[in-house]
Amino acid sequence: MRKWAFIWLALLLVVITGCSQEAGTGVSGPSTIQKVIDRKKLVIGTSSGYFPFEMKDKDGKFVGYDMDLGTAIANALKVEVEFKDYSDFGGLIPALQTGDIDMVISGMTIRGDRALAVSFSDPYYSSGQVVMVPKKDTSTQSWKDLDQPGKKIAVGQGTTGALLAKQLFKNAQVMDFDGFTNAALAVKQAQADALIFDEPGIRVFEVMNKDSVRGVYEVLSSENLGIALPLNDQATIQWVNSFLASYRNGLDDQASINKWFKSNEWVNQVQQQ
Amino acid sequence: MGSAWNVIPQNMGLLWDGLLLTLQLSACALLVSIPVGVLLGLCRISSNRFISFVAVSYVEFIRGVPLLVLLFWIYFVLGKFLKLGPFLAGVLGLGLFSAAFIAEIVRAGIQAVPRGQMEAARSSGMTYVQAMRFIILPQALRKVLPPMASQFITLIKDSSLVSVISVVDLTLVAKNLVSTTFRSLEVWSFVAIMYFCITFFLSQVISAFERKYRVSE
Repeated sequence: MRKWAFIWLALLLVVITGCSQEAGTGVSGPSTIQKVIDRKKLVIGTSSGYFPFEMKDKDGKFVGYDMDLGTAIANALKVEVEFKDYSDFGGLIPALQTGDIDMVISGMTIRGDRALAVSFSDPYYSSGQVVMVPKKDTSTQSWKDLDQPGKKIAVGQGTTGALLAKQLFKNAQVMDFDGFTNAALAVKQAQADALIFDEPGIRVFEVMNKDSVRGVYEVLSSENLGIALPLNDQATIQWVNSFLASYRNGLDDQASINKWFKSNEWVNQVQQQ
Repeated sequence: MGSAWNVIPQNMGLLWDGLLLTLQLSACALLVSIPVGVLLGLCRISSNRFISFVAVSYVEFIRGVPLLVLLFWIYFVLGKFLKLGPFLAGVLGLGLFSAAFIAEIVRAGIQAVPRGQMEAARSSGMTYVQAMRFIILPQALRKVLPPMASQFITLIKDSSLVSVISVVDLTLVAKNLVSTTFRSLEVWSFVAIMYFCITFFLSQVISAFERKYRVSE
């Protein structure tokens, strides 16, 4: 009985290690873009709760700057679009690798380590990492004021802010939460002393929670957001870059920027935590 | 095997720390859940209507709430007033959750001891407490061991949920490794084996206990 269990376990290990070698070697067969056209549907992975890029409105529909971009891509391909929500940002790249989604549009920063696992389009937006502190903390002017033993820095697990915080803070403790919302909640309730996140997200969160939090807009690092695509899928990368070249700062993009970044009118239409 | 698996030895220190924290957290939660669970189990069969109502309500409520929701609630709602750290919130959440299940196991164990045992003990002059302490509970203990064992194993597995409130347990270490190395297959496979090793070891220890008891029966 026990012998069989070990044989079974050994076989399982062989299968797992066998699969492992295939991971990350890129695509074979038709390009992702071709597959999307053939099945008449584009599946985009996103992690909602990142204002104003990806949010859900009161009817549970996805809205935001990234959704406009995704919808524009689907329109250009003349296919239907489906947004798949991943509560955990760190789960997006694995989902793209296994082929559950065709691309990730989720305010994702273009980074060298990520580019080993996926390919990025050209940047479609530039932003920076900033700090948010509870309102009653009136003294913090810079991240350096927070780098003291006993201070707690909340971050969204798997985000650029998390990586940056772990590099920057030598004395303070960095705490990984499941997504931006929970990390921001921890700061709002003074369970953590600060949050490191992308500037647009913090600006909107501050507007919505004026009484409890305050942004410190010292840019810790600036970065470019890109669309993550399956690794080395050249045809798809080419197509998306060409699309972005025509979309960026075009009429639709300008309307989207005005709607999401230059006004706060949409705030009441989206779900708030 | 290829270089893809290098991610494991390169990060063994982190994984090891995560494993220790998982064990620490599970052990603390167990220490909370055993006394609370046994007490609740005894309350449930109490003849005092009020006491048994309170115990039944607790068990029913906790069993009807997902652990993840309970953890968020303890950390973000209760923790706001009590200033619980993530670790304590995790211990409390897991411990109180598990206590409800242990209470049911204890109740079932006691009720499985034939009624005549209690009657015989009482008629030979023992008080209710003495009869419980010396006659009923020792017999019930033998009956509750197997379901208790699977509850402990469940507790260890459930502890992976605390990663959402920033407790750096084995699961959060793995999540962080996946988000920096993107080797999800390797990391998650290895972590699954690590969890399996702990729970398998535990179930072996408990079945050794059961064998020992059987001999003395």
